[in-house]
Amino acid sequence: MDYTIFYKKKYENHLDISDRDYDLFISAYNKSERVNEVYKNISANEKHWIVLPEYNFTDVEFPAVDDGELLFIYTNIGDEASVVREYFEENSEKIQGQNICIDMTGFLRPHLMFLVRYLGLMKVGKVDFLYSDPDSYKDREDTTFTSDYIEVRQVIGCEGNHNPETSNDLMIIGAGYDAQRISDVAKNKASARKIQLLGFPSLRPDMYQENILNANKAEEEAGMGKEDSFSDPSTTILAPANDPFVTAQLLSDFVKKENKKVEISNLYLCPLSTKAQTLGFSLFYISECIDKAVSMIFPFCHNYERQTSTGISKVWIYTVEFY
Amino acid sequence: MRQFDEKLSRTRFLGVGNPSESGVHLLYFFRQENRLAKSQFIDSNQIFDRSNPMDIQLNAPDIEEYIFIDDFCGSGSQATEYSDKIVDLILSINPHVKISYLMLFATNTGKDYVKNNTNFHYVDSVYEVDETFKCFSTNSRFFKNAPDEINQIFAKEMCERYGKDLIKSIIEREIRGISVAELENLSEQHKLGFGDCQLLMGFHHNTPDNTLPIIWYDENDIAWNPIFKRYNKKYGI
Amino acid sequence: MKAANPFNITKAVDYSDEEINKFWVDIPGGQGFHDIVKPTSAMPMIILGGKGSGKTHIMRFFSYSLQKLRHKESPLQGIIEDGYLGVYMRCSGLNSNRFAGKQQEKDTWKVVFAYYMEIWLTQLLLNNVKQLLGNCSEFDPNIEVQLHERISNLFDVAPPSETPEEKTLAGLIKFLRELQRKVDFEVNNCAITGKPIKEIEISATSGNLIFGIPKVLAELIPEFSGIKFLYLLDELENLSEEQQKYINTLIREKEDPATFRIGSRLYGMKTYMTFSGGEEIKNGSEYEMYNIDEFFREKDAEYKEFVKAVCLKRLNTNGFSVKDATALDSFFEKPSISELVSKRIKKEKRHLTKLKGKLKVKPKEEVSKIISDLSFEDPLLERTNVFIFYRLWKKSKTADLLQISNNVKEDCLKFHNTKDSSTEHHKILDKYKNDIRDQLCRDLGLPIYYLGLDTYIKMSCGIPRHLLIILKHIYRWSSFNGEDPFRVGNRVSVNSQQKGLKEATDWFFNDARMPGLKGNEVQAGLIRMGRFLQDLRFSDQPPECSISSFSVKLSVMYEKSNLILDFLEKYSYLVKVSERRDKNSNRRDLTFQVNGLLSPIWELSIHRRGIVSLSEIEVKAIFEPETEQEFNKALSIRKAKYNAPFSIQQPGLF
Repeated sequence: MDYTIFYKKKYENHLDISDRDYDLFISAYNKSERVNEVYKNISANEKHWIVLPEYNFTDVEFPAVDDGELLFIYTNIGDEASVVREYFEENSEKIQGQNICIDMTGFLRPHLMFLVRYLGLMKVGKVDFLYSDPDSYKDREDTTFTSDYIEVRQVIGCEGNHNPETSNDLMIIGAGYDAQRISDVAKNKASARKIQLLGFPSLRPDMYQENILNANKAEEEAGMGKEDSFSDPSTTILAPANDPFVTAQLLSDFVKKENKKVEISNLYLCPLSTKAQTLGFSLFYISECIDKAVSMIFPFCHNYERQTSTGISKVWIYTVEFY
Repeated sequence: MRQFDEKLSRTRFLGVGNPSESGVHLLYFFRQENRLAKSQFIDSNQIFDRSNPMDIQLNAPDIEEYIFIDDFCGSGSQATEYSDKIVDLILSINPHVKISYLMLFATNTGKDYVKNNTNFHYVDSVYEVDETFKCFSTNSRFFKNAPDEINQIFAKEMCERYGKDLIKSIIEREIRGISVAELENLSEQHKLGFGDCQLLMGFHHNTPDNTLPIIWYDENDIAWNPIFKRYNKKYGI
Repeated sequence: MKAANPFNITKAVDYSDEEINKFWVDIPGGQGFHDIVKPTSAMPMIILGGKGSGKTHIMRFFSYSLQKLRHKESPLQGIIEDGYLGVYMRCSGLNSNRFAGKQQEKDTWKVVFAYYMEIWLTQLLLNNVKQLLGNCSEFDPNIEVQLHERISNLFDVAPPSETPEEKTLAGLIKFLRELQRKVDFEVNNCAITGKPIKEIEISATSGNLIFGIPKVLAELIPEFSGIKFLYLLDELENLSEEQQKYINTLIREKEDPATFRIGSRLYGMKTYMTFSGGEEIKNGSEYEMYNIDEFFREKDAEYKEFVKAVCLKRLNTNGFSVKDATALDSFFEKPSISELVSKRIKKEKRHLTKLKGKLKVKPKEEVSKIISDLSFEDPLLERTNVFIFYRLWKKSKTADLLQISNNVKEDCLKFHNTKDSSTEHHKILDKYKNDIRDQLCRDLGLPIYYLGLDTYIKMSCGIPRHLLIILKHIYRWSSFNGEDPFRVGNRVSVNSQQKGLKEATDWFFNDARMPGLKGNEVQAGLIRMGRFLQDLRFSDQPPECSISSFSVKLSVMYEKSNLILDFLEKYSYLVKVSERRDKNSNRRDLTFQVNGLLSPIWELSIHRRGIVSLSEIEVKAIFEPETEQEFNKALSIRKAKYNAPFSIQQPGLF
């Protein structure tokens, strides 16, 4: 499979996205400017906000909705699957055969991973995923993204058929800014060899360095006992931070190459970097990993910051086909 | 895939500038990374058949796409000169050819300038450097989460004080017999990097002169140890 | 070319099987790990070890993969000699969290998990046996068919046996894999659809394979008679309480020749309960317990020798040539206190200015006389003078400070000239030398120094990985500073030692996060604890010498404090020195030492001598204060006792 032939489009200015026209636009609500600006400016017959329980919004904080808009609020706090499933089951007639755009910027990674798996199962056809780049992160390399860690577990729908033999387990971490979370996943599968996938080119020129500064903090757990693991192609994959297709392609190539050396006993994928890369991990998962000894895992937390970035830089549309 | 290969075979990649410059230097890595054939790279002289100076033709008339590659675009003036010289000529011979200008890094002003003042069909960069990357601008990202001990005003004054002396020594040598007033004026203008760009950027192969001079100054006139050296002593004065 | 950092690898998982073998170091002096783990004993054992204790290293050492490497010539002969076959399993590989929740009944998960474990562990066992048989020419080629037949009988649903390929161990493994795949599908799918798990056909009764197959092997293969089948279940902390009950049930119901060695973190054993009549497994009769951390902490000298041997092995297999362990300490620069003092930039002597401040109510001449009495050319003795002066001031009823300073001066001269052991100076320096040295450094604007290998071994508190991490960072700095460390004649500078140590300390401290607990309460509590001890240690007249330990009498009422203290202990931030339980008052009497690797943060001692006893009010103020003020108040009250003018402050004043 060649992932790089999928269609993607860049908008230098987010106001230009109004040239697209959708039947349905879906976005996960949070306080970031980039999420709200895109919601406001995109043109769609219907726009839906999904409110995720993990952001802990209260009733008064919910966004106001107009005609042709829908505010979807979860009925009970479940796992990543229950919110997504509930939404799609309730709105199934609006999905099939329609021209849909999903802004993944405000989605939390596990929900996004499950969403992709679910859309794949439902064979919904063509879907546009939108991602908007931030201008910068709130406190640059010191930005807090998550707190109150609970546990590392597999993401629902992305739990593999694993191998009791663990002698050549491999974990690929999409290493973002959240160093503590990198440590958490690395510790959870302590026996696995760790490969870090870094966003390069990064979203903005300074973000690669900020990324390295942070990822290096998790060196003791994820560094594989190497001094300079970030410049070593045997432990690091560089993939563009805003390109899910190239990310999926590089993952696929890397895994194939590793399997040729010594077969990987179990593979764990953990995207902690941009949502665009998370989409890339998910596409690789649903295309090549289902029913194999491969899982997507994630360090779950109680608290996900509602606003981690400032400004909006570029907007990307990625067209994925689920057949 | 076949279509892609076909298209690729009718595409040529070129560096901006003469073969000793960094834009061209970059092509080597570009070719390696993208696993392209050597035949797909030419230098700007190879575009044209000048055997009859009165009737300049394209050397390979079946080429549909020319892609110019550069490492960095500051003001955009070099790309504009290039366009005037080469792009316009190509288009005058074959108006159907598509010509792009792709850069690794570009200031947003430089990029806009190239877009508005040249006939390149497509201009884009991997990275865009805006006002926030200007080291001492009011919304500079470098001081956004700096610890309390780091003071932007102090840092700026320090860079200006040393930068001015360093730049002065360069201008003095570059423009022989420059007047005192003019020297003062130019050093004041460029003390934080040429064009007052105030960048903090250095490449593997060289450091642009738009970066703070205290980062790259490596001349003999003043004893100074640069953290990222600047080679290719050609300055945009 | 620069040599690779020999301390880069700090955890067993980054080592291949070959490297585990190559870098293996046993405990010196008779009782090696083999004698502790007793792999040929039928008695199950639970091996507890904190993070970095070396537990995984030890467990892997007894696995078949390593047995095979040790007996390359004849693996079978090796197994017979060893008397056991180690089947190593990591519980993290099960991804056991998926056997819970997902809108399914608890009982469903109980059955599914037990069945899954049965299939999982059996695959590992058969894989090892298959490898062993495949590597040996000694076996009758028909043995696999016989094994297949006998093992098939252990299943409730017989494995296929139509073709010759199926009638092999590989055929059985394939069958088990298929059974596992079916369970995986159901377990994973129920969460996607939100619907209940459909029928999973249980093809083998719990225990039938795990215990049955070793019996069949011992009966059919004469070479296997008398050897133990050792299930090495590592990382038990990954299993939930319910799942551990199942493991405990297996331990209780184990059948010869199979037995267990269970590896777990200190906090990993969530229960000792079984499913058999709600009873716990019994220590001593049903299993033995071995705590690596405690063992190393109790056996100070052996630990020291052991980790030095580890360092030596690391160095010498990485191209260094260090003759023996005694030479190791000489690679570290360890200047004397006077050398360090002479290099200082700040000239202020804070102990004297501070004292002047405390005497400001006294007449000027009196103050000058006191300061001149206490001043002395040797900085350590001068600081000792001030220390003794405060001590006598505190004791004295009349507070005739002039008299006191005069006495101190005389005693100092006597000690300086004669080293007389009856002098106060001798006694005080004997007990408080480290504290006075550290106070002096602080007063002269110097850092507190933690230098030399022996210091780092002490700071590692029985956790070998901590020592390796310290050395890894120190090596990096030293190498960066161009010191070419661990080569004859070279010494790691004070600067590199301090910087490397700081990175190791930061790593340990930043990792102090308790899963599930909201906020940074653990770190906040730890910080207040450290500050409390720090302020006491650097008070004018510390209540104890070499402060790094504290004791608490804690009632169960303080739920959060208990929770945090438990967490800090289980993750080795605090090392438990003793525990007594007072049944009548429902209180625990606990003594902890702050882990040596944290000492630099609060400039604490790395030795454990004096123990600061904390009241319940203080414990609450440290670990669960309502406001930060509550803590500050408790600290101020306590500090007033140990700082001149030694008046007891009234709580209302703050």
